[in-house]
Amino acid sequence: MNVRRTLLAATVALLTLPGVAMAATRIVSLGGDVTETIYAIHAQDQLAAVDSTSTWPEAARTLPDVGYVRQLSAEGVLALRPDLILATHDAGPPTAMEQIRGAGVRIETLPASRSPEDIEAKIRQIGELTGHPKEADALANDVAARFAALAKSVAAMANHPRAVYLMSAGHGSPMAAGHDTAADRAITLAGGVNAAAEVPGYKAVSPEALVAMKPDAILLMKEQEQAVGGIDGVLRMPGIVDTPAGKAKRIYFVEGQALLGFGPRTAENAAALQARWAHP
Amino acid sequence: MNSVAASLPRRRASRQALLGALALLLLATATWSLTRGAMAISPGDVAGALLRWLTGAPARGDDQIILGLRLPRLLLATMVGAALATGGGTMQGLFRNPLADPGLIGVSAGAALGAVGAIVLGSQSGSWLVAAFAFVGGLLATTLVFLIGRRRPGVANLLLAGVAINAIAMAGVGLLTYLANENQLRDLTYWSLGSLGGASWSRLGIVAPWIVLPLLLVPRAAVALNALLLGEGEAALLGFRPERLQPLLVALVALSVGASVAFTGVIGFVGLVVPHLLRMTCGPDHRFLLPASALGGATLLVAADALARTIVAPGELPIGVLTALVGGPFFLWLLLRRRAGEALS
Repeated sequence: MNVRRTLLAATVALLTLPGVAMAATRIVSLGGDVTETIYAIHAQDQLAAVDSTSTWPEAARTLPDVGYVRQLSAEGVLALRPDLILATHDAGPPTAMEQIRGAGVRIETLPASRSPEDIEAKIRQIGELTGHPKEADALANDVAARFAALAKSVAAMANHPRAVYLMSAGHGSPMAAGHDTAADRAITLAGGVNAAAEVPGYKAVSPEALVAMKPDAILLMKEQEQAVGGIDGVLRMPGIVDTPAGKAKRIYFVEGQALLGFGPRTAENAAALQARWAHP
Repeated sequence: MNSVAASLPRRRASRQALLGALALLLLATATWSLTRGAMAISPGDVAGALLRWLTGAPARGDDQIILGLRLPRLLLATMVGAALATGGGTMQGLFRNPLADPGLIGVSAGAALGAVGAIVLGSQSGSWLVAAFAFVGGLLATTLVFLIGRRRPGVANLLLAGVAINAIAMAGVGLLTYLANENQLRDLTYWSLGSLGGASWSRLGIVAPWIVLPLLLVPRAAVALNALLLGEGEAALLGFRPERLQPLLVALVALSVGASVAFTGVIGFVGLVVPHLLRMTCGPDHRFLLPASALGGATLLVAADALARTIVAPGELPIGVLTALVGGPFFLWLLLRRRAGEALS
């Protein structure tokens, strides 16, 4: 009786093997963009844990958190007994990644993405690795279509607003996003011109420098909207009122991670931003 | 400094009993730490893994976690804790100041400048580059402090040179922080909070001689440090030569602390407080204080690291946060329960 049942189970398992054997069932996702994609292609049942930058969707926060993506602990990750680690390009530190690899766990590192093509490739790659190529294909096509429509709208814009993205506003001098930042790429994608493009990375800027940048639009993180006191609060910050953006009250709160994560949500958030500043 | 005279004739037997107790405490803490971690591994399996390792039997199950991750980490914590606390005890003796710590001779700030420089200016923040730059930076800063400090006799001048070099190095760190991008900022923040997560056998092999050899040599200066407690002039009258003791001890501390900081980042508090604690409870005789500091520092760091990797598992807390968070209140409690009027050292 038992033998037959075992045999039957083994046969069933063998028959279904080609379909599921390749798909990892305990995935640790390192990076908010990776986690977003996994949820978007409905592969979340395979997730065992995420990192602390994986804040969307809400459900991801209920999974075990292995800590900040650049400061991982090898044993912490291994303790979840993953059979696959999907890591964003800057997951680390390198020693922890070496240790995890040394313990025989498969790590797939996804390339850095800063363009629509990169995002589509990343989605398809995650689809292959999780065994959801069809869903990933559909999502990638959807994202590609959104970016194509966005490019069309951008081409039709009469003028491209000079925009500056301010991070950690409210504590001392705000930090503006210069070139080589995700915000810089997002502004360009949405048809704007980064008014702070001269500085590299995120740099503290004085009120005077902010005025000199002559931004037509100022972007801040939606997460900070309450802390800075909304648009009125921003207008009270030194220098803002003397910029074209301040005078016209063109201050936009954007969803930080959705827009800047260069994951599946970037396309629609960039399009929403474009629509808002094209028709203020 | 009346307590010096009182404690010097302390019986050798009781001192050795105390050292033995401290060694046992370290052993117990180390054993406990091996069974702690994000991965649940029973003490039996830990013992099994160690046994298989020692007898050369093939590894099983989670042996790799114990032998490849926890054991090198435990050894690194032991060495670094010993180096920081012994360095602190030595500096406090050399400067005759209970507030001295190894940072005073510029080694920590120099290492920070080197490490942050490697993180910000390096093309890839490869961890070897960071460690190498930190080590060299620490030694360079200490050399500068020493060369400037020795232009006038006396230990006070060395201390002032240390203050100046520290300020310059930290200004350099500030400038590099300004130049850093967001990811580099995160990296350097975590570096300055310390972590033992990078421990591996190959790294251990490289760092061990730099830490252990100076540590073995430092206690040989214990009697001279005792004499120095009476004052530099008095020590010279007793036949010791403070001007020769200084460069030797500064170099030894710079080597062991520099190597520690290079591989783990800045771990505060251990160097200042462990020797202090031991002096408050057992007197200032360096023949006892230095080895006791080594054992006490190792115990504190091993315990702190075990907590660091379990409290927020599967994540990990920076260890510098824990040494101060665990050690600070305990130290305050000890300070407060002492009767008023007792000397600080």
